[in-house]
Amino acid sequence: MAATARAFSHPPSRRDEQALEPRSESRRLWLCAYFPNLALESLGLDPTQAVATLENIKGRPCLHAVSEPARLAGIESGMTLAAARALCPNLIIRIRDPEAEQLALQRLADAALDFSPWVSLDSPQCLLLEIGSCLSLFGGAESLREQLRQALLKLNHRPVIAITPAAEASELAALQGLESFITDKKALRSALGPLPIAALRLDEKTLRRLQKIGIRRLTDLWRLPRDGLARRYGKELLNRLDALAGQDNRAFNAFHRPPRFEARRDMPVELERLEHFFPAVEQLAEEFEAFLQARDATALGVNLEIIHHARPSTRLELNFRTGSRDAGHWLALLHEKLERSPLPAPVLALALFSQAIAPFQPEVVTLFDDDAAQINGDREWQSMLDQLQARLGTSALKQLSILDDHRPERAMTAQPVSPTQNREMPARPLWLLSKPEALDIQGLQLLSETERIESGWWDNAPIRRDYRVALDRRGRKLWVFRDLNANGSWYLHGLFG
Amino acid sequence: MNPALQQLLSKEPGIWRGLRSESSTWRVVASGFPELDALLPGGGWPLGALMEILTPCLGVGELRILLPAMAALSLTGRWIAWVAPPHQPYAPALVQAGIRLSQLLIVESREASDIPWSLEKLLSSGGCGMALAWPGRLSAHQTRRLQLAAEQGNALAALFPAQTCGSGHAALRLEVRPTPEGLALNIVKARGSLSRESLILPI
Repeated sequence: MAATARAFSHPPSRRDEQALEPRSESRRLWLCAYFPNLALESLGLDPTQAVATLENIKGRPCLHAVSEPARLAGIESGMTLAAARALCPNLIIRIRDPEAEQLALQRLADAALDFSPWVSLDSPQCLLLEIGSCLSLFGGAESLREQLRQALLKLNHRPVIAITPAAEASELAALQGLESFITDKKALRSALGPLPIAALRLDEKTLRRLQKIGIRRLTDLWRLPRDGLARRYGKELLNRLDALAGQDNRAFNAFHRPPRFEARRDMPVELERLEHFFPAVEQLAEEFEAFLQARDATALGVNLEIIHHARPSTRLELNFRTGSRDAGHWLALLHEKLERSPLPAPVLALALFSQAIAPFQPEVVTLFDDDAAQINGDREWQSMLDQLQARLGTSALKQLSILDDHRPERAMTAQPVSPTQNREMPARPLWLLSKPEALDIQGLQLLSETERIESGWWDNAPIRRDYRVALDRRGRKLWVFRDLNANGSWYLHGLFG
Repeated sequence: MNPALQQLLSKEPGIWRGLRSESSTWRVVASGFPELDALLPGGGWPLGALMEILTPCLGVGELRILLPAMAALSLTGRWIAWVAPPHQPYAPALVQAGIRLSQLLIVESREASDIPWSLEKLLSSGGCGMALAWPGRLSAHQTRRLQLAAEQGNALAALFPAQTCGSGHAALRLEVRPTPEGLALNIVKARGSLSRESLILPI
């Protein structure tokens, strides 16, 4: 069956690359940069050596990402640690860090913003850039690709870069390790045709069914009648194929560079006394205040760096309990700190910077000024606590709370005061069913993160459940759980009312 | 009365006017012990003032006489600050006394010199209803600053000094002493009253 299917399929057409020069530069062109070794590179591992990352799957440590030399030694992702060690004794293994990967990707996206105003991080391990509008700036797509590659390589990440007129197709090609360059939508089908259907990342079942009828490559799929395809395998597959051919307008989330502020003042001469150099700090703070006001933002922290001659610079850090854009407030805190900490050397220059910038949230005030005094007092209290914290240390302010325990030592806790006092449990429904009802999870839209609630062995009613918040077709918000003790069936336990 | 004198008196409530003081103009918070309220000028702990409580040692009941006032202040939404307490305040007991824990702030300070500064900030903020502190020794000008801060923020500063601060800035000075019948309270000094009363509270 497989042989016949392959025999009937057309030989892959190769006329795409050169034959179709970009005819209109204004067309949309999508560049996808895929980082096959992101997990390794983000941990500082060298993918040209036998290295791998480790991840827990179902409670068992398994290999996650594997470098090329390790793969040649017979190691695959999903292998257990012992098997991998037996195959390749000098394999370097580190535990996977998804946060580091995300941060690395954001750094890469930051670099990519120099090439296109439109960068998306919607796909895992990929950067998606719309480059159709900025080709002339970089001297054509090929030159842009090389410049981007150099910029990304500088950050120690090796990309696979594909350029096509459809975002989905670029991603597919890059994931397959193909550095395609296609500018015409009509050429997409023939260029992607020879790819195996496994590249579509369909679910296991559809893939098996397609393979059963002898579909191996994308060309085979494209030759099937559309309505039949939709009827047999669902609309999902058809949409996927259309997207590959550039016939959809998926909306991506654009990546924006997180705002930051940095300003520096050089002193005319080396200054020692606080009252001499503090006016420069004032200027910097006012500049930052104007910066925040122009962007309708607030700062959650400010850093002041005091640069000395031939000495490491002194750093002062302020963290605010609530967003602030009041230069007077920062200056009072900085003055307080500077007064108390003698500087090791005269001041050569000052730099003020901040990366903790958050959107400004205006206060809600009543029309008839009843609460104005209250709100004002509240703000003053908060800023006073900021001052206390700046001088006494972040953990100096504590609040007490009682805990449900009869042992005297454990009946209370003293925790540092946090601006957001949200230590309560996740949302609970207003109605609780006295007896959970069995529920069909089909057609429900799960909203929240899973919340595991378990234990209760002491009163012989142990539970082990994963709770979620779900929305049903009628728009009711439900509190549902999966009972892990009773083979994972779903139950309805409450309504949010 | 001379109008100029009257103006002066209404402007400066701190001027002592002998035994017939118009103490009703002072802001107080009821102590929660009626027999004690009857003796205190104005009928309660003075707000916007400094109070010193002298104890032979910790734990004789010096905090218990403040608990009802603390509870009342916390329920009105004002903060109760404990600055550098010598021991860990125990939350379940505070809840038993009816104090709202969300209005309670513990300020820890590693350096003794930070205590008067923190107290001054807290007292003058206006959000704080009562601040408690156990300073070792305060100079006259420090107590004066605290007095002014308490007046500005309309707060009660309850100090438990190791020895008499030796300055006239405290509006109220109490001596407490445990007795078999209860806590013996001796009002050493009360602004607006000449009488030196003492009583035994059965607590």
